Amino acid sequence: MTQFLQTCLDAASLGSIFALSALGIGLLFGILRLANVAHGEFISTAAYSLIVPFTSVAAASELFIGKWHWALVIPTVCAIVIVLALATERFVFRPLRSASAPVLMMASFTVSYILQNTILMVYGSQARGVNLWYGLTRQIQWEGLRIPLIQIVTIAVTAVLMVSLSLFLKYSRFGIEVRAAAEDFRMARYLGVRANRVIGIAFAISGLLAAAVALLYLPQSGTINYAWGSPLALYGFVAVVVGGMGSLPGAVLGGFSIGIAITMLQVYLPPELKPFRDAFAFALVIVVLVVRPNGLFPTKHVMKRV
Amino acid sequence: MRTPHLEVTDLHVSYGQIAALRGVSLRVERGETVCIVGPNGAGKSTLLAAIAGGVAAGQGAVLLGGSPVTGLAPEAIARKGVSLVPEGRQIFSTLTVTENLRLGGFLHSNPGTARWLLNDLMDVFPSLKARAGYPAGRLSGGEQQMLAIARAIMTGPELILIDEPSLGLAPKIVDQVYAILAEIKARRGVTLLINEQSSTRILKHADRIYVLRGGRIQLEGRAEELADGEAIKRAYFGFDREGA
Repeated sequence: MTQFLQTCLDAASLGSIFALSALGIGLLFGILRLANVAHGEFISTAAYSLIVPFTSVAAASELFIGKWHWALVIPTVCAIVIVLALATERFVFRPLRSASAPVLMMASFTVSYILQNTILMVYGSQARGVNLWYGLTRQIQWEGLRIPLIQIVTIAVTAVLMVSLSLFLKYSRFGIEVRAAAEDFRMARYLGVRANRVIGIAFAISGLLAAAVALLYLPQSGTINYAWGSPLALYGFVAVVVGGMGSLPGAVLGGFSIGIAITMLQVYLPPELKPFRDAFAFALVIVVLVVRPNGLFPTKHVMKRV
Repeated sequence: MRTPHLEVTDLHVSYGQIAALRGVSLRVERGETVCIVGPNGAGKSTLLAAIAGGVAAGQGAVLLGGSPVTGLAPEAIARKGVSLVPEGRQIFSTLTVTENLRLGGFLHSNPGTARWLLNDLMDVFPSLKARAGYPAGRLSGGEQQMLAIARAIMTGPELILIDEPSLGLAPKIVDQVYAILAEIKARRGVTLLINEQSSTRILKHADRIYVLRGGRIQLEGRAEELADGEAIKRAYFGFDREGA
């Protein structure tokens, strides 16, 4: 029983990371039909901004922003990624506003490669150890459970972010504009919704969520390399597809589903098959998509009555 | 001569190789109700979308009160007092009725204006008031058309462009839609430019009529001059050409 609870906690914590990643990707997809491959590099950039650039490789990298007080680290890293996200919007995706979805996707691949290579140039190709918030890796003993503090923080921060995001989308002016734009962008513009502002807000939120993923996952992973964010974004993508394209609650639930599936496979697969955990996870994804092509939690399609 | 509220001169619009409008010119005076009649594929929807900034013109100009708005973004044209009720309503089905209406009111710099308009519209449309918190996708077709009109009014327009308001609605509901349009006109003195496929009903409501076919204006006239419908029929079906 204790073992099972421990596994559930691991699943919830990993699921939180994937859900945050999926939200950042799903938000842009919903509004722009943009599958933003560069989301992984937003996450990597957040992580790399913590360490000193242009240094030789050491076992543990010297922290730069990362050695500041956490109350300064969080807003600074968020600001850096938000600026990066807004810059990609302004200089890449805005000029391509009327381009087709495949063109947008190719553009986001190029952004992804450019950012990855920039990281390679500035920080080198070797993996770097980053000791961010060492205290968070401490474990709490409770009723026989060993709970790493970072898992509690991850789940709590994810819950707070999701509740705030849904309140923002539900009640604020920008939230209504964003939801309307996600449903029918052209009609929203006919009613005076400013396209650039709505898209800017969506990119900023996406950047904020990427920064949150990086800051929450880094204390658990401990090591980063130039492609560190890519798998996190990939699982985010899969979560968006599994959850049901274009539905934000679906993206969140998809993220948690993947987190649960991977954790359970990690625990319950026979040891000789454990190295192939992700293959089993993606096989499950294929099964889900074959059985439910619109995802696990598709947007309730409201019939337009004529 | 007075400056017309809306003036379109020699407007050309193409989708790739296909020309939708081939040099359309028209004028709408302030406070007029003008109807564009034409068969499916005549370019009616394209014309309204081009006026509202939704599709780019290849050539020609759109002037509002004498100043050109060609090439402006739709959100900029909306701020100049033009509101489009598109074909098929295009209400936001996942948003509630109230959210649909509030969205139309966000462009007012004074939030009081939007609040006042919202309350006023809820009185004009009691069926919408009764369903204020419903997702708009659950409304009936007639209610969705009313919502699309009410939402357009929320932007505080001086010119409302309405694309096929009777599309897919029962004749009784269409009468209600036109009654509402007449009431709005009486209350707010707006200019109306309406697309319709059929001219029978529109002759009662319009001051002037343009017949559009094949991307060109075929006929223009005052509604009372065209009341017998013969000239419209000839222009609409193109008998004129072949007969001449």
